[in-house]
Amino acid sequence: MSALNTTQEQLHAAWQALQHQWRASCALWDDPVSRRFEREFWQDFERVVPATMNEMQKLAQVIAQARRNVK
Amino acid sequence: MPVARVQTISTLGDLKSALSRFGGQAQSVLLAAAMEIQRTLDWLQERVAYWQCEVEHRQREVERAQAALAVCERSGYRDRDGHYYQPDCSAQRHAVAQAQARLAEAKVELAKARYWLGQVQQAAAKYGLHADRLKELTTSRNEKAQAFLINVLAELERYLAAEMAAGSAVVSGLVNRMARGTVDLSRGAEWGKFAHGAYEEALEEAFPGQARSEVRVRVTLPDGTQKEGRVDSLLGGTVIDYKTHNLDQLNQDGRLQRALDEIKSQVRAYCTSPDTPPGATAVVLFEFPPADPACRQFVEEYLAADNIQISWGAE
Repeated sequence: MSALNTTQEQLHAAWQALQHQWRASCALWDDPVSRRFEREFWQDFERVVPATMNEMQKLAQVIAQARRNVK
Repeated sequence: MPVARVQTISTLGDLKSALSRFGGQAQSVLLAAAMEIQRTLDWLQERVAYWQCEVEHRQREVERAQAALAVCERSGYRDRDGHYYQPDCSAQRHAVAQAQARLAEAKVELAKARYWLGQVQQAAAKYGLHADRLKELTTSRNEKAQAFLINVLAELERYLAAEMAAGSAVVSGLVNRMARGTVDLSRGAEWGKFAHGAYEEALEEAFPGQARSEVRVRVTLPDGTQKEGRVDSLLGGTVIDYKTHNLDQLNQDGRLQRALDEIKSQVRAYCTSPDTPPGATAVVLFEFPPADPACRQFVEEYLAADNIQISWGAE
């Protein structure tokens, strides 16, 4: 496993913790202001973080293949 | 209601902390990833350079082996009878074959190193676009998100204090006046006047020297004419308007939107008055929320569209 895999796992764990807190907050904070926060900020997190983790995973696979194939 | 507000304050504080923590973790992850990418690219470039040198070196070995073979092959001779004596060049031929195999191997390794360098560069560039977005999100956007929550927290704390004070004042005042027979709950206008007074007094008690009530301001009507209006309460840059409407009843009668439009128009005129602080924002404190959740959501969203916040009274 490359160092990038470990890094990707750290980001995944941090993202899960943040998502957990967001869901807990939504249960108690449900009004037009929370919906505005979701629109203006949270939706960016949901779009950007998983996409970055996905690309990081692909890059980790390419790096691992390079390490195996190049002498 | 205060319990719900306290829980909201607590959870928003936790959310702000979680955002701050995630920002720090994401920054560390992005830095570690950038270092790993750079290490890999450096290693691949070093491998390309190494195999490039090997190809050149082994090419020279092939040339030397071929030259030795040519010398060997030219060393044959004919005797007086014309017989040709061919020299034994098998060792030189073997050396040429070996050198060519080593050159071919170096060429293959060079091609592989170049291929994987290109693949990693391509994947790193694609990842880099996402990493840049995440970096921006976890720095400036994250700071804005946290600032947004800090503002919401400050507002909630302010309204919680005001609501608690107002609630207790309304209840104690109501009990006293009912005991004296001076409040008749069946008369809406009297109740509205009483509730306004109680809320205003409670706010002034909660924010001594900061909250002002029944503030006379100049307002501009839609036709451009000016008249005098009276703001229920003014707390810093916040215009607070108390309402004792029965929103469920208005909804049933089909008069809800018209009533909300009147409220919007009224508080907008207060907020833009030259006598209220520039950039003043409005909060409408309804005595109680509608029982119908759909009606409540409509009221919240309808007023929020004009940046008018709602504080629900007894819930």
